[in-house]
Amino acid sequence: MMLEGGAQIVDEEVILEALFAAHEAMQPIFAMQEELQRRAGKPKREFAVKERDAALLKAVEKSIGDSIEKALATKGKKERSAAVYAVSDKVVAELAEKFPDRAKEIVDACDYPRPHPRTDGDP
Amino acid sequence: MYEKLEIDFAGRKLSLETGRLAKQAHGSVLATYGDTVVLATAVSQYEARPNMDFLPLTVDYVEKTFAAGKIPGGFFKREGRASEKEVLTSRLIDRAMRPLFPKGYDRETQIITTVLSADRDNDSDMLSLIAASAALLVSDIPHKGPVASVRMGRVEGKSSSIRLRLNSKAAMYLSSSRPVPSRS
Repeated sequence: MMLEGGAQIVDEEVILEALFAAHEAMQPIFAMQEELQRRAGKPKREFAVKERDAALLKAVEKSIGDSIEKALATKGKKERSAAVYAVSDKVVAELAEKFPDRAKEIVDACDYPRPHPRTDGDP
Repeated sequence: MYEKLEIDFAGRKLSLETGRLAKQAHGSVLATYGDTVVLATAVSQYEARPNMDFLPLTVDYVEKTFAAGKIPGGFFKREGRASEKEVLTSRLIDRAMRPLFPKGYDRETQIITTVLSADRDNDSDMLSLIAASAALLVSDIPHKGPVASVRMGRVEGKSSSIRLRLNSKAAMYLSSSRPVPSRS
């Protein structure tokens, strides 16, 4: 487990002690919630996870080669993003013939999140 | 199916009940601590929207004035947008719950906690997180809970006497007992 935080008034040990004390204090609340689930919980629903197309993944991997490593080593945050986007753009262009109309999936397969407008209504 | 569980927590009764309110939700729990009451409900769509590549999760913590026994009147007849406390508590619950959904789960999901009664002594934020976790746990929504939360404080300046309360009065007591930084 790793924790990160800051405190100005008390020592690290006090915070650590508080964390352990808090964790211990929570145990009855966990037990209570689990008991409630045992008594009144519904069975969990099944859901299918969308599988990624293995052929597409393989093609993307081959097309990227070691160019992504170089792009990720670029100095500067904006420059790095631009370099990686350039790689995924290149991959999309290369695979456009083999996998038409699947640009979004190809970009996703590159595993480097690109900003898109938020639609989840997070406060 | 009505179930109610009760424990003694830091000197007050903490209870969780389900099966009485909000029965149309996929999971709902009424949590009580002292005289503070919070209703948490969880619902989730059965099918994902097309082209969904993230988890559309909405978490809201709502404080209505009726929880304090008041109805807005006069110039402000309506309750406006969410207060800072509501937004921050919503985020607190969101950040605790979001990572525990199974990987690849992309059905639209809403967790709403409403403060039904506020007793001015026991803060409803920690209770809301516990209620939200319990509501997800009893629902059929896949989630790797449970989650719990407590508010910690340091009493009388001794770390050995760290005590725990969900209670805001204890927190106030703490802030008055903490050492004052020297001015020299």
